[in-house]
Amino acid sequence: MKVRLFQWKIYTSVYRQSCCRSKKQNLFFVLVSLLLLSVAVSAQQKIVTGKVSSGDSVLTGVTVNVKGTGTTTQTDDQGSYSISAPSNGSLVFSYVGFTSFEIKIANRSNIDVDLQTEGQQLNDVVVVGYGTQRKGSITGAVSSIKSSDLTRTPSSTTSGALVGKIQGITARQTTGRPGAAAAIQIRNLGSPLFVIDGVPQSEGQFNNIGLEDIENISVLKDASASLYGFRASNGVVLVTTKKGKSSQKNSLNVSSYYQLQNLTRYISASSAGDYVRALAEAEQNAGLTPTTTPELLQKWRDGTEKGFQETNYRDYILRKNAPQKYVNVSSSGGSDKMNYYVSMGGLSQQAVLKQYNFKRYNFQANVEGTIIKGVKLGTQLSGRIESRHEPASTTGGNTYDNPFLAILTMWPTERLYANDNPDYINADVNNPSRNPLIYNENVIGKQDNTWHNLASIFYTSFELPFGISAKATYSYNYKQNKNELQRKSFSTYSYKPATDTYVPVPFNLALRNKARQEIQENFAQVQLNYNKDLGDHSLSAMAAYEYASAIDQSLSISSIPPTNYTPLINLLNINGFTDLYNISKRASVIGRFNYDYKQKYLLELLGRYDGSHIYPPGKRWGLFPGISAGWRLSEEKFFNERFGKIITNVKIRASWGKTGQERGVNAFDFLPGGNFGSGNYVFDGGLVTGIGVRGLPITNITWVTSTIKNLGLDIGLFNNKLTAEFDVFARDLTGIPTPRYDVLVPSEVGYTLPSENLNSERTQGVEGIITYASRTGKLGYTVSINGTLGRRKILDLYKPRFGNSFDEYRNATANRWADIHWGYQVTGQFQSIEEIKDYKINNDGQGNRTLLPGDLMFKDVNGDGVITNLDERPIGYALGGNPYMSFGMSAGFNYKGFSLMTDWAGATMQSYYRIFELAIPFQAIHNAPEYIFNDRWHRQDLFNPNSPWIPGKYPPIRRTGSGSHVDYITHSDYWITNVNYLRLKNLEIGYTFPKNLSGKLGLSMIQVYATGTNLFSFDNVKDIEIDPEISFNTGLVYPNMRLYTFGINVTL
Amino acid sequence: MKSVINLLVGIFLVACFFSCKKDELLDTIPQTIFTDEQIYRDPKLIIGLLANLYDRLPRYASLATGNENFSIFDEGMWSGLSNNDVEVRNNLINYEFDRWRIWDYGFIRDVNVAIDKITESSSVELTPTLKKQYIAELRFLRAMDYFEMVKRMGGVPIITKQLIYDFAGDPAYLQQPRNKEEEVYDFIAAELDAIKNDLGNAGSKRQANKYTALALKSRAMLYAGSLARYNNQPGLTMSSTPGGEVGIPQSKATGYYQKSLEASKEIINSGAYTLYRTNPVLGENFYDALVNKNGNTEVIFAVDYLKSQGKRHLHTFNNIARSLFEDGGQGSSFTSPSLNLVESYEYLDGTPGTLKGVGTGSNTAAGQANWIFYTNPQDIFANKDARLYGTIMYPGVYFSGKPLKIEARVYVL
Repeated sequence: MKVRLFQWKIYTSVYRQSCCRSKKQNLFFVLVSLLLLSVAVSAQQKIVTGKVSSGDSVLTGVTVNVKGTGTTTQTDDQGSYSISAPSNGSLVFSYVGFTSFEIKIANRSNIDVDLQTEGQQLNDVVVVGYGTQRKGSITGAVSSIKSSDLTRTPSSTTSGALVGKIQGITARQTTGRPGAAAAIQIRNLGSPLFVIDGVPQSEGQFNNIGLEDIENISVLKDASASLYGFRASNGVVLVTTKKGKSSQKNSLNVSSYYQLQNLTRYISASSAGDYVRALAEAEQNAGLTPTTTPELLQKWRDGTEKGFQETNYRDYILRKNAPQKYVNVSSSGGSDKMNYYVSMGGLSQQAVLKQYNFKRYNFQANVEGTIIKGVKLGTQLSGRIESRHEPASTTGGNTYDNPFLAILTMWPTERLYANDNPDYINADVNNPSRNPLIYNENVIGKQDNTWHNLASIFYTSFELPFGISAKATYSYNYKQNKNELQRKSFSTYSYKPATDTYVPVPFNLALRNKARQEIQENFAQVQLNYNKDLGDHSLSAMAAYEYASAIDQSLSISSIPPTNYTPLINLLNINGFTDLYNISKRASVIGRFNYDYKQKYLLELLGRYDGSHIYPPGKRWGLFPGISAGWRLSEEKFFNERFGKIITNVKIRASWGKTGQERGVNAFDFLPGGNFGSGNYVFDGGLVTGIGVRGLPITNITWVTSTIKNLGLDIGLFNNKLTAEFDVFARDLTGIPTPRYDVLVPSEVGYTLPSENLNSERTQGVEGIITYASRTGKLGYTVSINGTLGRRKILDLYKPRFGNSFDEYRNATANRWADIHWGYQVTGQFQSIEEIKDYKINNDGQGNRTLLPGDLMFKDVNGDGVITNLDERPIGYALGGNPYMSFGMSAGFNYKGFSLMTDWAGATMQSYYRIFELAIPFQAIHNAPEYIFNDRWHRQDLFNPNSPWIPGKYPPIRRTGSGSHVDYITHSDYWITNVNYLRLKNLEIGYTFPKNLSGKLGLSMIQVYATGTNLFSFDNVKDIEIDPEISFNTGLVYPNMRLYTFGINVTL
Repeated sequence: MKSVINLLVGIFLVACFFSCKKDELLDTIPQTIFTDEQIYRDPKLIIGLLANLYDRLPRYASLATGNENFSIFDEGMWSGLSNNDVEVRNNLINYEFDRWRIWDYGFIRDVNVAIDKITESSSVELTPTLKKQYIAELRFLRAMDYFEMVKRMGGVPIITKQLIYDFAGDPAYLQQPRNKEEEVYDFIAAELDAIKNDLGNAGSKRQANKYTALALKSRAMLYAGSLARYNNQPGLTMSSTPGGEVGIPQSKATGYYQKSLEASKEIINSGAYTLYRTNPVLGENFYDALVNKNGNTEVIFAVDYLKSQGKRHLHTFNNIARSLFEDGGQGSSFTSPSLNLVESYEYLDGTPGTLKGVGTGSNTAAGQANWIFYTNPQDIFANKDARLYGTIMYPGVYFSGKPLKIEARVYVL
């Protein structure tokens, strides 16, 4: 099939070659032809030769490609090349670290090229809201990241791959469980809006899109987000999926990796010997005689005799090298009338807990065609099946929690099996429901959660006269979540040695739940664009109208089955049924206007007139405008003449914009009437569903207004080898709902007044990124560091009141940083009984009678001789949230086919407060971490109460249940760590086979790589054996994983 | 040029249409919220409204919620989840001043809203008879709620109309003073007298009828009379306020007792209720009288649960004795009887119910002669008032086919 193509103006030089395809390629092309029209063209060929250099040095290994074809070659050691190309075609020279260069052949047979090193390229196109802009003319704070920088991190979620790579993103990966995403925020503002290919989507959708399918991600951090109105106060993350390019060679790419997962850190539970000794020590510290004997203690330490064997639960529960597997096959290509990108991938991630896993299958198919001149039609289809499989939870809580709790709950002196007989789960343990043998799907049953999602986008665009173009888009998403729980009844057993029998202790936990959630989202948009260049002036405008509706329905049935054997639900056994329905509607008018003069003075006006269904009629619409301006100093003659040789680019940016936040109000709050389904009552005729009279209709409350101000500076030095961007920002939220407490409506009215838009707060900070990328000879290298500091401050509160000046000092929040953590300051530990006796300050509120050497000494800040809450002072930052300051670094080099790339991510200004098992010996009668039982204050001789005290790090061991001792119940900085860390997120070593070698195999590229993730970190929580990113205060969670990944990319 | 004009006209028209319709564009219809127009024309929905209110009648401790409060009084002790020890039960030293407070004006408001809306309703489905009956039932519920309030709080403001705030910043006009304690009792009596013949629901034990109203009246009047009589006994320093918000003059005692007696007599003389006496085993009969739903002639007003239709409570789950429990959870024996309660059941011969063999004798060789040795654990409870068996599960009794075992063990912390 050889078809002469319609020649399009822009692509006059594009021709296509179609000869000498291998059989394999032919098969592939036939397949693709079924999907699309595959077109091919031939033209007159000639041999072009030349030399590629950069300044004085020749470049080896530069890829030379005949534009629009698969014909490629590479320069040799002398920088020379030779290629067969059509006489009226174009050649494209590309090389890592250099700007790719395109030149028309125009019948020449010798073309020498001088390549420019690549910096942050000002002509790069960046995706912004409702369109794209050249990097050089952007005036808002927009960061973007491209595919290759994302896929470098072998993460199962998109957010995991984004961490540390660009400024403005803060993240905390609080768990490494399969399929878990990091909570990402833009500038610590809160959870952002995610938009995929122009359509707003959920965070789950964002995280589970195929990573290979992402072309780039843009992050709108300031007024540029105003285009998204109500939902954009926390910034917007824009994802663009890959498309085939017009007149591009058809290619097939296969990438795959195999990964081994291991814990970064987890607490080591104490051994049986230490545990028994600690028990005795607790007795000694309580003034009792230890009930154990040195002989018994020694038996536990030896652990050989029956009845004195130790159980290591950690080894039983956690396995090493849990595998994760990934494969993705994609193909893209295009003629000048059609282009396509299709991709399918699968990911299977096993947990370090046996039987727990996460699986995901994705597909993406983006096809675009020109049906008549100037009219395009396209579709973007994507789908996924995302499933999580786990043994059921005994408590109905999170299935991943119990095994991690069990490691410390169980005593090392207990046995998993009754009488060590593997047929009987031991019931004679301190907490039978935490015997880890239960967390097995054959015992407790299983839970399967699956998402089936299909997202579709259909669009058409028209080129109209006068520089106007139009686009219409429709999108339909269907998402279904299936949750299947089948929890079983089972027995544990108590062994009676006297009769050699096993007495069952039943757990009647049988429960069956089937839940379905169905979300249908409709989205329609029409958009008009206008571009005009009038000499030095250029302007562009965009106007759009958008309408979106979503219906979210869910249904859940549960039953208590009489048997474990059938998963089917019987009417008789149903004990729960819920049916929920939610609808939302939004409509918006969006506009943007850009003007620049000689690309020197840049101005952007944008806005969204946004409507949301949750507000009462007449109050549904809000206008959210934004303005930003830029001045490219480097384009000024006076500047260029003086500094032009060193400073290539300087741009000063400023922006101001408003967005909204739907907060403090729910849909239909404005309606009176009655709520169906509130309560029920049995009348003589049976159960009647209640209808509750609704409270006061709320019509006075409106959205929270968010105002973002941003000042930025972009700099490029040394021909843009060194680039930097800095931004200062402040985001004010005004009208945060709070009740007007001083309007004292008597409680006899029977309702409370709704909140009003009264309070305000600010999040402010700075961010920046500095990148240096260059190449000398065959060595290309790049270093990039970025950082973000964003912190929240309360501005105004509605008439705060205080009882006294201390109350004001302690509890006022207005005009202060938010999330200040208050507590006691520990000045040291008591060194001896004598010191306690002579101590003048009442340290424990009980005349110091509960103290022993090693106990914590609190600072009596107000000097009143007693430690009370008046002595609390700020001791830390927020707990659990994203760190106020995050930073990242990427550094790497490539030499010939080899590449080494490292990504670092770190954070500071976050607090971790440890409690329970992580601090208290015998918390809830459980075991304790090994360091708590060993590195402690204790008497030299366990059996001699008068022996001298030996210092340790932790207070002396007590067994007081839930830590009722003053050491633990007071919130002190002894247990607070202000966590700092810098971790090596990725270390990737890659090798790309030389073209001639891969060419022999009929392939255009073969790349192999090995990546280590979370290999090590510099942090200050090593001694308590927790991962620096977790937030759960007992540390008993699935921590982050250390990963070893081995992968291969092959392109046909 | 013409096309530009056309375009502008087109844009103008679209803009006009949009600005008129922009709110309707976003209208959504809730699926669980009914409008006043829907509710107050449909008797079925008004029944739903009543169901909501019956369900919300204040109960300090019920089978479904507030389980722990069964052990707040002398009869029971808390043996359930250990972390609940902190705020309730056995070691409670400080009773916070508002422990038994109830100020249930959300309920009162909802009743007042419903009465107003039903009165206003011009629906043909809502016949005058039906209207009268629903309003009577709502007034019964309101009277019962006021009784729950007055018996705990003394006089409370009597609100019978909706209080609507105008959002002008000064809510002083909404303030209502507390009524006198006696006024609230009088209000309850007057309300019940006014509605008792409109209630309908004859024979129902789940919904208020004439006798339910009389029973409530009798009980309220008994409270009022007793407050008047006993709070004014010499030597008692019960609090009272000069305005009469708390405290009823002694002179009113007889009047209230009389009203109570009359109301009770009306119930007794109607013959609508008799004592339950179907099971010859008296202990079981006593139990049946409280749990048997069919043909129970003794119960006047009860909250019912229906497992088959999903109205359930966890009382039995939470209170199953430890030796009988069937799942691995922690629920068992939340409330345990006190010795005091057990001993308050007399012996059949009329002697005081003190358990024999306990606390007599001393642990010396000579004193041991006084100990009584029982063969079975349940023998110590023999020959007691049958209501003990009907109320308390003691060691050795059978429950769902298994004997209850109680063993002394030491819980090691």
